[in-house]
Amino acid sequence: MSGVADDAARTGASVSSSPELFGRSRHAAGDGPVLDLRGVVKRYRGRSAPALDGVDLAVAPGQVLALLGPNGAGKSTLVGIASGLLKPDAGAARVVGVDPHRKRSIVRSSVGLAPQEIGIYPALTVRQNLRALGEMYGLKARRARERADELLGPFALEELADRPAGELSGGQRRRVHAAGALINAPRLVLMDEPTAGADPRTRSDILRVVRAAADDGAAVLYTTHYLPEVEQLDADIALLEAGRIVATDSVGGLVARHAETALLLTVVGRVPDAIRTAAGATVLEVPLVGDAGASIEDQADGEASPAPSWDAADAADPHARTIVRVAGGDPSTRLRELLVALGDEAPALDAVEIVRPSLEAAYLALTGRRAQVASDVAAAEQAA
Amino acid sequence: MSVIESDVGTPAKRTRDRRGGMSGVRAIVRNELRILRHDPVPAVILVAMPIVLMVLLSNAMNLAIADEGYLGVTGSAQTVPGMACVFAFFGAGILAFAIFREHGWSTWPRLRAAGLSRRSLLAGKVIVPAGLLLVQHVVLFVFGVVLLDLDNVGSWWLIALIASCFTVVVLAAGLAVTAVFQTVQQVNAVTNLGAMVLGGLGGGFVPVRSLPEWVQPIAPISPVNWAMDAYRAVILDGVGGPFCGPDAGCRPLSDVLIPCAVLLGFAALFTLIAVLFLRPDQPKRTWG
Repeated sequence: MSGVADDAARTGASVSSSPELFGRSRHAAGDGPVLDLRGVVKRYRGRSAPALDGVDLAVAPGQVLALLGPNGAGKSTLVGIASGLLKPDAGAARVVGVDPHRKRSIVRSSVGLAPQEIGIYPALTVRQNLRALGEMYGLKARRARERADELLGPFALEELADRPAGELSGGQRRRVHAAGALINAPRLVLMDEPTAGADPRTRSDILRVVRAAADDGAAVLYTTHYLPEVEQLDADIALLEAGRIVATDSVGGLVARHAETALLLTVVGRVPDAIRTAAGATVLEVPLVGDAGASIEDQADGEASPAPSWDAADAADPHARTIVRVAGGDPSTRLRELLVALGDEAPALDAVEIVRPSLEAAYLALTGRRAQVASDVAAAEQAA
Repeated sequence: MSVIESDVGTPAKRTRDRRGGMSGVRAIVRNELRILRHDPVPAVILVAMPIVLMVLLSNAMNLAIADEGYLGVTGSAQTVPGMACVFAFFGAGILAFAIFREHGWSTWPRLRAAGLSRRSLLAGKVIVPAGLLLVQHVVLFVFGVVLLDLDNVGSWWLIALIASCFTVVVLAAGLAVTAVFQTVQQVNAVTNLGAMVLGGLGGGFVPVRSLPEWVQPIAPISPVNWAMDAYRAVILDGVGGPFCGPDAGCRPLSDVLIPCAVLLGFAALFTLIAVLFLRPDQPKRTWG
């Protein structure tokens, strides 16, 4: 049983994929991919590096594909192309077999999108927001009303249905926003960091419904920085780095192929040569915590910032921290060797962490960056 | 090629697409009306403010109208169409804001992701402000006739024609403003200032003849000037009215139709600007 299903069993919430909720079980497992990207390239004015550089990706009915990658890797651009909002400069994008940028009517009936930023009408009630979105997607007024009512329960919005969306908390707004992506019972669900900054209950509700949508036959492309969610969703993974897919696999496959035990050393000020030159050492970027990604429209305007590359060793600030990953060998032995080699410079070492084979370790090995891990999620939840 | 794609281009498919476009327009109109119900203040101001000014200024305009040789005519012949034109221009801001707020609420990408074409999006956005402007004209003229002794000796159909042409100009100006400017503060400044300057310059507050001499030659750059010319030809000179037969020596119908054609020319110019500069994927900044 997936983590989401466990969660649902605990809370007593319904994860059943009833035809009433998602409209059908339309897609046989043998269907071709609902989303199919081949050699997709996308460039923005004023940026030398392409946002997407020859991306091949497919999402099949019933599959949740988690798109991981640091900020600026191209996740939102990819979602923009899949939804038809952006046009690739080269390559082909197909949704249910047609170009989503050219055939908007197909997108209308087949794609549901929850963009990164929460988009709701604050003056309208929750129910009115969902109805309005349903009508935009071409549902008749009566069907849009019914559909909005169907989605209130799974997203725990029943008691809030007649409250203006502007009066809701951040997490409640996040749920309304995510529900909007399912209003047209789409064959392809695109969710761009739907749980960013969300509280535990919201996170749990959204994950549960996303999993249920996939169980019902929808293809789901789900971008996130939170690795625990990927495991909870029982999702496959595509790892995007600097506009390229660097790995596509199941969680188990990715861990088996790319994760290895490593030491993470946090160094204050200049990185001592003993660490910098140690076998298997890589200077990492600082952890990227929080939602600093640019919106699709920002990127379309070429305003997105490139991913930061911070190496405190080269910075003037003597108090800046740098994280160094040292892979290979037994971690205890490696640490002992490093401490001996550091000698008088040992105080520069601020923290030491051993990373065991895990999705986080695989992410670290493939991207050279730390992902948001369980502790970050817990901290975000606490803050929320 | 999939079955779905092979259907593209057939007459049935094209009809379905057109229906899809219409349902998108209807959906946006319904949503605009929902939002208007929740916040009717801008619409109320669009109607209430000119009424207040009409009441305050009509007596003062009696003399200005008499000065032009129209004896026994009330000042409402100037203030009713004048205030209608000046305050209709605020409708350009209302239309622009209806688009800008979608960016502020981050709902614009959702509308676009819903598969609505640019044409459907804009058509849906234009319809409610268009209705508001027409309602504004009706309310102001009815108020003028009932309470300010406005006596239209010309044709009410021609009044409706002029109001419609002017509404088209205002809506096209709203789209042009949306296309050209990037922040809602810019839109507010341009539409508010534009309404006052073009309204004043075009004879919306006082007749052009009462303006300084150096201003009078440049009055035609304002659409309000052309609308007021046409309104005056109908209301004061009776064009199209029962007393304006072939031998009555009235001003010709072309004195209304030519200004209307010029108004449509303004509308075409503004629409061209909108078409050239309006990009649906262009981010707009609203608050902050």
